[in-house]
This record gives sequence, structure tokens and C-alpha cells, in this order.
Amino acid sequence: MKNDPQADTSRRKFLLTAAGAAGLLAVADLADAQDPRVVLDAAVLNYLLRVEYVQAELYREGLTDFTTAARIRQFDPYGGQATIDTLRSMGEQEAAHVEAIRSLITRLGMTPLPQCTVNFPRFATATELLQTAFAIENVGVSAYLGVVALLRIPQVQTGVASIASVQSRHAAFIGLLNGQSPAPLPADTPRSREEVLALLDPYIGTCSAQ
Amino acid sequence: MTALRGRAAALAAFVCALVPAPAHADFLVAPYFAWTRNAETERWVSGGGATADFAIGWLVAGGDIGYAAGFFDPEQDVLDLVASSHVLTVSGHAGVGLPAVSDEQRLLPYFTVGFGWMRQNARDREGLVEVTRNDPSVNFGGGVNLMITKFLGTRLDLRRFSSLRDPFESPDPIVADLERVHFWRFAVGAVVRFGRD
Repeated sequence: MKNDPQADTSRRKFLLTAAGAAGLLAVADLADAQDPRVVLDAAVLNYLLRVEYVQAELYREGLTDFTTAARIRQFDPYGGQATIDTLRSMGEQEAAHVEAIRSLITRLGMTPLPQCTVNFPRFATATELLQTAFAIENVGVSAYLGVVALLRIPQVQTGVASIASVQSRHAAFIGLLNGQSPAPLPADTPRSREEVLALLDPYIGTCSAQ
Repeated sequence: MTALRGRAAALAAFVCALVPAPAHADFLVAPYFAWTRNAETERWVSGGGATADFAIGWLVAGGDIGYAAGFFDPEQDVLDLVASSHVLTVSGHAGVGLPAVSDEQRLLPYFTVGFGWMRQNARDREGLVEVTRNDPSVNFGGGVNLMITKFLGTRLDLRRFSSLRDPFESPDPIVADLERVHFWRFAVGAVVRFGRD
């Protein structure tokens, strides 16, 4: 039987094509264990984590300025020791938010934003602390509001929404202490990332692994 | 993976066994613009690539490289949190196509299946989160070459790509609903034919 050189060449090309394609399977990196579809959710959570670091540090650091009897009396117009206890509880909740968000990021297979350095001025009066808290809590509310539509994973949506509702309670309580309406508008307005970060900028420093 | 490689080798052997002694062979090169649909975000993202095909009679085999920019970007990233994302596919394919028996034949439909490599990448604006994964993938689809002259024409191609790898090897329950990445790609481009007598 006579061989057809053209057919042999064609078969060789087909074989090379098939072998090349099969070789691609060997190139595929099977060691990865992450998915690019969760990058947005992780980025949103890291953004919120930055806000939570500031909020948690506000109460932890701020209340250390009010431990003596004379300093505690500054809170008398605002409800006294009961208000300090509530603020301390709010600080613990903010710390719990930090842990919850870090946990969610880790469960997505991603790395949480490292702890940021946060620098608040020494609060000379209770009024100063409450005014700063009013600003920071409302930044938090607007930050959470701005991310709602971006999240794709239902459990992350639920986790973020459950924290956002507590943020609103904090903001309402601090608003009342500042003589403001706890719910001044029928609907809140989300802030952009740039606005939020600009408002936090005076307080937040670098974020790096401890 | 062993089973997949076995099926791939069987497919390649089957295709090779079918190759007849040809009257002539065509070599086709087709650069294209493409629109790729992310089913989850329901967005079409643009991109491009090129295909090279070797056609002998009814049989077609070749390779393709395609790129879809912004594939994992959300529809409305109002916070601009995702800096960039893409999908890059490199694959080989084989199938059938209507052979050009004369220079007057203008419409040349084809259908191919292929497998190869699917690179997926997304990274956030802060530089904290970046994911790159390289998955084996399969694709199938078809299209038509509309020859304007003996050597030049346009090509329309519709193709579905599917990753063969699960999103997470040991998924946490919060990501357990993620399916393997898959998408449709519609491509429009030129086709240049070599090898016609």
C-alpha cells in the first residue's frame, strides 16, 4: 500500500494540535484554592474593616480619658455612668464587628486588612468625645449603605446587613446624646469610598501586619 | 484529571483516525473582536483574540486565544473597589466544517469542540486581594466563515467555555453555591485563507 505524503503531513499536524491542546492541561495550575468572583466581596469587607478599626479604637481609646470621678461627672448631662457603660458596650460591639468581618474575609479565602494605627486626640470633654463619635458613627452608616448593592454572596450580604443595622442604632443613640434627631431623614444617603476615606483620614494611619 | 486526560486523548485519536487523504488543505487565520457574557453579573464584556484553523475536507482543527477584559468587574462598582479583572483562554479544538469545493462557495459553516486553559484574574484597588487561577476548560461552538474573496472573508462565532475545576477544593459553606466558571462568547472578525490553489 502506497503512503500519501500529504495525508501523512496532515495527520502529523492533527496529532500535534491534539497533543498541544492536551499539554495545556498539564500547564493548568491546580494548586490555587481561591476564586476571582469573591474578590469584590473581600474588597468590600476590607473597606468596611477599615471603618470598623476606627470605630472600635474610638471607644476603646476615647473612654480611657474618662476614668476618674471628675472626668466621669462630665457625662452627667448625658446620662452619667449609664451612658459610659453604653458607650463601652458599643465599643465592644465594634470590636466584635472587626472580628466578624475578619472572619468573613478569611472564610472567602482572602487576607483581611491588617490592623491600622488609629490616632484620636485626647478628649478634653465628654462633649468632644460625643461629637467625634457622632461624626464617626454616621460615616459608618453611610459606608455600609454604599456597599449593599455590591455584594454577591448571600451570607456576606446578611452579615454586612446585620452589622449595618447595629451601626444605625449606634448613630441614633449618639445623635440623641448630641441633641440631634435619631432619624433626621426618611432615607440615608450612601457616601463614596473617597468621601468615607477622606473623613477617616485625620484619624487613621498605616495598616500593616503587627 | 486522569479521566479527563483519557477522554482528551481518545477524542484526539478519534479525530486523527477520521482524517482522509485530502484533495487540498486550507489554513485559516481569524483575528476577532469578542463579547463575552458573564452569567452572574449579566454583563457583556469586550475583548478579542485570534483563531487559527487547519481544514482538510470536512475536518477542522486548530487553536484559539481569547481575552475578555473586566470579566469579573461588577455591573456598578460605585466604590471602584475592583482594579481589574480578566479571563484569558488558550485552547485547541477539532470538529467539522463545510469544505470549500469551489471558489464560488461563500458560506462555510463549522462546529468544533475544544479544550485548553482558562486563566482567571481579579484584583482589588487596595492591592490587598488578588486571585489568579488557571483552570482546564472545555468549549464548544460554531460559526460561519463568509468569504468575500477567495482569500478573505468575515467570521461569526458563538462559543461556550466551561471551566473543569471547582471554585474551591474544600469550600466554606458561604461560597458553596459558586458554580464552575462558564460563559458564552460571541466573536466577529476577519478570516484569511491560505492554501487554496
